[in-house]
Amino acid sequence: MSLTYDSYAYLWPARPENAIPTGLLSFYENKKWVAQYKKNGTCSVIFVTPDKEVIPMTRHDAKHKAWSPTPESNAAFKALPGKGWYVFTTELLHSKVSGIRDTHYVFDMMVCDGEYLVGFTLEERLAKLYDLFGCADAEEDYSHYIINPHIWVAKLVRSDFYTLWKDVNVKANATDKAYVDEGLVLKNPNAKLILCNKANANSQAMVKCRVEHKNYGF
Amino acid sequence: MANMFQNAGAVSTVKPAKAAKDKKLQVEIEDLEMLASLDATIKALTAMQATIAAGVKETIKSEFVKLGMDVKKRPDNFRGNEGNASASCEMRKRSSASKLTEAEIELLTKHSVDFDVVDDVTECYVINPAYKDDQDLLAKAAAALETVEGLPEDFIKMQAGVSRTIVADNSLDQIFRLKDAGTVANLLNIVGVLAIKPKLENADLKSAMDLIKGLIPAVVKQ
Repeated sequence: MSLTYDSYAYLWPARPENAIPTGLLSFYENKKWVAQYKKNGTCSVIFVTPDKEVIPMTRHDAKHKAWSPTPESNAAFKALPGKGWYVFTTELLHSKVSGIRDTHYVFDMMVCDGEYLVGFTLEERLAKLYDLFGCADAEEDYSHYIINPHIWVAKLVRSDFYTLWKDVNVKANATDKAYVDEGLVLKNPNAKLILCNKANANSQAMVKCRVEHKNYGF
Repeated sequence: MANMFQNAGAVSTVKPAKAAKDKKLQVEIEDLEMLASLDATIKALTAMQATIAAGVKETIKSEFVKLGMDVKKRPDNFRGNEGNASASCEMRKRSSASKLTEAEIELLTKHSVDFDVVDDVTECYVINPAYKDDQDLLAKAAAALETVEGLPEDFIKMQAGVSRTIVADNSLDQIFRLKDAGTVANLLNIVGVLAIKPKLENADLKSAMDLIKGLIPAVVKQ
């Protein structure tokens, strides 16, 4: 089933609502879920028009109040192929972590060149995303592909979730400053995208496992 | 010799620092640890419940798609069973209170699935409330209506209609006549609502806890 997306309508990003303690990491690993690093930024939805105008929105269907895109942060979006719309979900890294500005950590795609990816699994959407940005040939960091200094694409991790979480937790608690990784987001790779017309439409297919912090139990 | 006014020290405008957490009064509260433990456990189990429920609903949806495509209409509800548990697995038409979005309407239209447009505010003509207490005018209008003379131009106001688009009664039947199971499953997300009411045949909480513990060996080890 192919659904077209040919005019602006806000799409709610797929993001986790439920948090889990580390003791449940093996439960999700045994279910063959995958993980992405959870970055410390502002969840955003990036709309790219057929004319390559870039419209960044927050996860609350509002414009960013304290940030405007720069030519550098827009460059990779403006270079996208085709004549259709694109819609991405990203973590905007700008105001929270020292030394990182105007950078999108792209972790999902809802529309690809005018095709609304309803019915596509997470694996299928990410395969399209990786193809689109040429991740196979891109420079890699521990958590993401570096498309350019301002566009990072989230990698998938498939095993050793607890070891990974421990590393993130040690780094996060070794500094008094804001840290770039807040934990992991675990996702069902076979979950199909449901129409993104509600805030929690796709939230049941993922959970978050955050680093230790005085403000919450887990 | 300076007087007491000349010797007066400055009043501090600096707010006293808040007491650090470990300097605050510490009070032993009975059952607090149990409450925190239950709170953490419920939160963790809620996440697991949502994960498992999503998987179970996916299975139920696949079964409804198969059953519906076999009979080419909305299938009957059924019961699910496993071990000591059973559940009523139900498919309902989406509520008429839930209006369809543009994307949903586009998708239904593309696959020739009906939807209804219902009026929330009926389009009609009403007397302008500005004149409702003007007895002279009303009397005049009443007389004028017979001759149509003397009637103010804005005496008649139009109330705009407001409508919403909702799932039609036959939408569920129609989707199961389509040939592609993936399309049927996606449209079912739009026109239907799946509900499951699971229950244990006996309320054996110990067995239930043992079953849950088996899913989380790492928690037990910690």
